[in-house]
Amino acid sequence: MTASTTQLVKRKPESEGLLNEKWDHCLANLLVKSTLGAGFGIIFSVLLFKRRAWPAWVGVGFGAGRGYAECDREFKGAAGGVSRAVGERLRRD
Amino acid sequence: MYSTVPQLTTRVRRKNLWDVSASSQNPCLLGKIEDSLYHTGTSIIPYSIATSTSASPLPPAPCEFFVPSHLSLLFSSSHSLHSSGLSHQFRMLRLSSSASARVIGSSGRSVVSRHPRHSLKPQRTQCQQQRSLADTKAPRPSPDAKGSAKDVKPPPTPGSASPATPAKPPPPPPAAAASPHSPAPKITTAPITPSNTSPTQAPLTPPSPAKTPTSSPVPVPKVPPPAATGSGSSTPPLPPSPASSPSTSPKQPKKTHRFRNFVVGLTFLTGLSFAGGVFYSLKSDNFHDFFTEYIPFGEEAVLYFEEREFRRRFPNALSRVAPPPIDSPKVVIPKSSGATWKVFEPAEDKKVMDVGKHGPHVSSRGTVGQEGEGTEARDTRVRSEADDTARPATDRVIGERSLHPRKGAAEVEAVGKPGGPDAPAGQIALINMKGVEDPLVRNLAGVVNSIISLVNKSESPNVFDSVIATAKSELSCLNSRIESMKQGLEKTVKEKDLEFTTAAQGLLKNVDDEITNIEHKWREEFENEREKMAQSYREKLHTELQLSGEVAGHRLRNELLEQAIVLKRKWIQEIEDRVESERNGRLGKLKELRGSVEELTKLSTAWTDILDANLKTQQMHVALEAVRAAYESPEQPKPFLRELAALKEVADGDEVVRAAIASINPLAYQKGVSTPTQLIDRFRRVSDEVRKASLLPEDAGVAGHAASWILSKVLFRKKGLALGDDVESILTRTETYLEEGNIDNAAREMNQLSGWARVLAKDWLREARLLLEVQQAVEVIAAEARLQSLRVHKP
Repeated sequence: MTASTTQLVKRKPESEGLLNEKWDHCLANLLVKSTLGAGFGIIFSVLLFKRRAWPAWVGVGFGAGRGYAECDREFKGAAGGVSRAVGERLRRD
Repeated sequence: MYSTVPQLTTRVRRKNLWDVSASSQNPCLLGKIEDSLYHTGTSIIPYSIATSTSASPLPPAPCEFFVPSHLSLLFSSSHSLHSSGLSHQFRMLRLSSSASARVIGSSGRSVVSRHPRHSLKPQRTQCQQQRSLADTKAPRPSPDAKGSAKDVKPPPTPGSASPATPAKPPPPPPAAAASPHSPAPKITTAPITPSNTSPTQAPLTPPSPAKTPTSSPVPVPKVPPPAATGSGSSTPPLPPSPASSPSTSPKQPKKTHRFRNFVVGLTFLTGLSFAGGVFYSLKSDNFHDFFTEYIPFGEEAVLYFEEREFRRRFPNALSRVAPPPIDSPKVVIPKSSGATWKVFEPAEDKKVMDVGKHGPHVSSRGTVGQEGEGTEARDTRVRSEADDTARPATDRVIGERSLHPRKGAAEVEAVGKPGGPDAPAGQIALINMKGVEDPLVRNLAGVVNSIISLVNKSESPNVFDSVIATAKSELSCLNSRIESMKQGLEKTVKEKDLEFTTAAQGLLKNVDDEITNIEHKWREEFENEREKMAQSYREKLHTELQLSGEVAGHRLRNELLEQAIVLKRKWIQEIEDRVESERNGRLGKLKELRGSVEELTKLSTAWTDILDANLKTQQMHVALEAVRAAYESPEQPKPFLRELAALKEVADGDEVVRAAIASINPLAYQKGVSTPTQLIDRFRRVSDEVRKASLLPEDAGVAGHAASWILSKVLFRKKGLALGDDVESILTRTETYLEEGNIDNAAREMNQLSGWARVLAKDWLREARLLLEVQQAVEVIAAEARLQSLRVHKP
């Protein structure tokens, strides 16, 4: 157990790579969500809307929006609560 | 009484016969009503009257009817019990009513009609009724009755029936009437009377059916019966009166008796009632108050009886209150008692006594005996005082009289023959006591003198002359004998004295001789003893002198010996000193040698210590160098745990070294520390990332990050030690410090970052800190090692 944890700790990404990692996640997520949305849109357009184009775009929009929202949340909470006030406090120390 | 009348009216109303209203209280009205009733021929009136007369307002008619009969019986007894006028009236009324009822019962309808009036007003015109009752047949004629009724009405109207005394007179008659007829009033009599008076009505009167009052009013013929029945018991006496009034006139000749009977009865009744009142007042307090207050002579009578009772119960009570008077004279303190300005005190009543004198107030004994004497003496005194008022008051005291025999005698004679002249010839001369010296005789003479004086005072001093003369001669004889005895005694005393003196002289001579002899003897003995003592002392002195001489010789010898010893010691010491000095001169160098050898040994040991310490420090230096090499080696990160352990070993419990090692983060020596070059390399990467996040706003989202990333590319790069707190300038400063090799300052700069930039630089910071910690610890240890090496050189 301990060995695995230490290894995990070791593999833990370095601090400078945190943001990049987040970007990767976000983009991947965005892509997946938008494709999913697009797929749903296409299906809807085919089944319901007589192959119209706009349902597909709407689906893409939904997916992209969803991905964006998740990404935003991730970025916002990621600062680890190290807000300005905490920073100042730390600086003082 | 008042209450009964309204009842009557109500009853009447109930029968629907008459509306009497409150006016019924008026006797006249009542009379009228009765008249009218009478005229109508109804027989209710008697009944109503009967009801009215009832003492208790509520009881029904029948009851009332019975009551009167009882009352008539009771009256005699009740009279004695109750003396109040009110009760009298009540009874009177009842009686009268009952009588009227009876009358009504007995008389026929026509007859009844008149009687009611009688019966109603009987209270006022009781005399007539009484008469009728007494006779069992009313002798008066109807007109008479009417007139009397109407005339007499005013005073005791039944309605107004005030408790006023006027009612009183009536009661006695009824009582008187009732008492004789007491058997008569009962039902038995009733039938008799009616039968006597009027046989026709007799059947009607029977009381038994009439007892029910309700039935009475309805039938006219029957009306009388109810009245009769109501009064049934009591009416019988009455019926005769009504009956007689109209029919039995022959009984009038007895009128004279009537008045007499009335008076007698009245007096008897009053007496009886008074007696009863007194008796009852003794029993009941309330009645006592009433009786004593309102009845004339009531109080005296009651008091008398009470007193008698009291005496009977407590025969001794009064004797205690008033003790039997003692017929001793009154004790009066005379006006002049005490000091007075008055010289003369006028004679007073015999009975009045002087407080100063012996009397009952001084002692209970002998008062009577002294009385006589005192009075007697006083008598004489008083008389003498009459003669001689100028005499001082003190002379009056009886006791003092003996001191003044002359005056006493004069008084005595005055007593014997009042107003007569004095007679000094009869006196006896006193004994002259001047020549007598003996106290006994003198006392005797005094006694005799007092006797003489007493005798002188007595009425017949001459009688005692002879006796007193003999007494005197005896006294003189006694005196002379005593004198002679005294002379004889003196003579014998002188002779004895001479004898005694001669004997005493002889004795003294003998004693002197003996004393001289004894003295000689003692002196000789003393001389002998003295010689003996002197000899013995001389001997002792001699021996002591010898001894002292010997002692002195011994002492001198001892001193000589001591001096010899001291000299010897001095000699020996001098020799020793010389030997010692010689010896020291040779052996002193040996000691110096030993000291130098010791110093040498000390030095050698010190040097060995120094060598040891040097060795240690050297080892420490070596270990330190090893550690430094370990963490500065380029193949980092590499743990340098062994090196540190060795260093700790070498330090051998050095406090400073131990503290320094403890300050190092265990991670550092377990995993190794990155080298400065590595740190710089990593910083390059980190700075790029940090720059990307340098423009991020707080709580930035995706857009903020993207914008900051893009814009950071456009930012101008600073160089050197830039000023400012922004991320760019901080980064440039760290870069420059790092280029200079000042990792410490670089780490301080990076520590100022905040937010995303700080998060991104966190790992790098940790690395830098580790390195710095190790460096610091190693430096401290190196300093300590240097210090130790310096310390070694000193000792």
